Amino acid sequence: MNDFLIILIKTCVIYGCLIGAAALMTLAERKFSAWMQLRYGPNRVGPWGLLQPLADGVKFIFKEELCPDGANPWIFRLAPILSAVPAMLTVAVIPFAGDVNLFGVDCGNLSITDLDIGVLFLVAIGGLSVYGVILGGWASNSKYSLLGGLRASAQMISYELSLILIILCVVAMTGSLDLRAITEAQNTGNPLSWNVFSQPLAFVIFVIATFAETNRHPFDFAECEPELVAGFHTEYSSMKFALFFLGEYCAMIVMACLTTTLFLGGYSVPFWEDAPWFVELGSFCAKAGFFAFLFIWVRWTLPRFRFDQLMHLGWKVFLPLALANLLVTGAVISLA
Amino acid sequence: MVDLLFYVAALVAVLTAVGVVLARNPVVSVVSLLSCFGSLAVIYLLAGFQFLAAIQILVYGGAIMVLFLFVVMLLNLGGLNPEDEDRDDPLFHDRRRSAGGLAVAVALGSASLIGILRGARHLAEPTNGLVPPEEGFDALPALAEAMFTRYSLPFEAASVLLLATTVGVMVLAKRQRSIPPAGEERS
Amino acid sequence: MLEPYLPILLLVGITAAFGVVNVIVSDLLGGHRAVVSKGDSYECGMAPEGSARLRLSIHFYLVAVLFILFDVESVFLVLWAVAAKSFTAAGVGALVFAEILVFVGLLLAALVYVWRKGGLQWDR
Repeated sequence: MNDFLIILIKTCVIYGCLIGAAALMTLAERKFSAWMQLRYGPNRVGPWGLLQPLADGVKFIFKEELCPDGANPWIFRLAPILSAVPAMLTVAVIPFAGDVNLFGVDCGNLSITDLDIGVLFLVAIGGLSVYGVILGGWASNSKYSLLGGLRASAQMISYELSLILIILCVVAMTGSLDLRAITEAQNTGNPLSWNVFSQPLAFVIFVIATFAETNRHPFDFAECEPELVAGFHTEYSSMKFALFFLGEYCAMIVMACLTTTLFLGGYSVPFWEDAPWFVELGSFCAKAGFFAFLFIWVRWTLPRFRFDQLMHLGWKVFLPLALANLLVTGAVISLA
Repeated sequence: MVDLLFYVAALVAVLTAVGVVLARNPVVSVVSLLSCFGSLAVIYLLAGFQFLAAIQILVYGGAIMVLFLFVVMLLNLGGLNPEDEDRDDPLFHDRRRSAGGLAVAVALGSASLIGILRGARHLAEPTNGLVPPEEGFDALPALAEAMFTRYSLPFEAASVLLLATTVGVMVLAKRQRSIPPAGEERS
Repeated sequence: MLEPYLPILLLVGITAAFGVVNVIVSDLLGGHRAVVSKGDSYECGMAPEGSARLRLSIHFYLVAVLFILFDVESVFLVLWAVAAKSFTAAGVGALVFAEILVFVGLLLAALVYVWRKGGLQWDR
């Protein structure tokens, strides 16, 4: 029973932190964009606008909910849930720190769970959020939504391939699909054993592919404001829109965490092999926070690509490069 | 707990499978099928095959159902409103076709029922029962070893199959495009 | 073996409840005032023109099929990636790698074929 309680608390705390981080990231997005454009950004609700996400949430709940004529009401309501839930589920396998000892109670490793097939779970469940996008676009009975949903889904599945192949490079080096094992293999106290140094090309491809996978700038063809208004969620209002939004930000945070885990040693601290858990957690949050910031930074810096350029990049550049990278990795492992 | 989860997953699988057939809207069918695959993955997991469960979701859930959805949209099958022309399609009211479909369904259903019954009798013998891998994922290296040593030829054949599929798909897609839409030059 | 999945079951429950409750609550609490044009789909202020159920380009079908092919390929490669080190330790690393080369080579041939045939051409 005690074990169950610990599991329940860990799950709830990590889930709460994910939602909180996603809410904060929406604020950070607006703040950073404002600074980059010499504006103030939200600054009325709470100090530095810190309570803005809360105010937004309340407003979302009380907004009128619209369901366009000719839309399928059930699928229309199901789509936001299908989009948000998989994105939130993927956080389950991310290892945030080592063994946690809180007030003399051993709480086990700081992660919701450690699966033997961790990476595969993440990729498989994360891949399901494509349905929220297609179904949302289709159910809205609107041309913008349909086109946005189709583009977004084609883009997501195209880049998912490169992502999987790149992940396999890291898996081949570790010989395990467990994200904690992958972290521990890099946790030697020497930052040079982080995978980013042995797999630089894979790292670059992975980071760019995560941008495409989460439909972010410069690949945000799902929305592409000038041509598709808001893409697949053009017709959505109230909390259903917020769920799409939340799912998107959760996916970004999980992707930032995954990049950290796969390539930057996860929670390992440079030159301190067995650091206490809160130092490890701090190390993890700093690295993942950087990648989360990168998502925002890039969005307000680069112009948008064209859709055909995106597909070319995915199929004609990244896929062959990722395969080649995997084969070279395999050759080094197998023929050594 | 495991038993309860199994019955829930099995019930969901059966209900959604029925839903696939009964739904009037093809997109609803696809969503039903997706949930059916999801509950199948849960059943695999409960039987101790994590890898299979993950593959079920990754390949069937994440890839094949996307193709189904695209095909549904490609053929523009998503008639929703009662006034949509789909309902007036003579195909929907053709008794002969319905009877034919029913016959095929009964034949397939009874064949699979016979298969299930035979399989159940086979499994009932204690020595033939499926044994889930004891150490969970530790079975994966064993699976890999079997595939890349003993079954390496079928493994290579799979890639030939995939290649053939690609060629087939391209031929189909190309044929479609060799009839240029009105007002567009043949290139 | 199933213990690690207990937290996932919990998380599925929590997230699904979060999603469903949010949709229902905003359904109940949000105002409802029926105005004729509110149900129209948004087309930048114009009255909606024609059906929104467009027939989509064959490209999307192609991409989905290619995705399935390479997805299946990557599933096979997962098995190899996990076991690559133990194959090397067992002394059959080179042999298995040769198998993988043939496998990936055939799929690369498929990719090159599609490429040459213009299946990856999006700008026309």
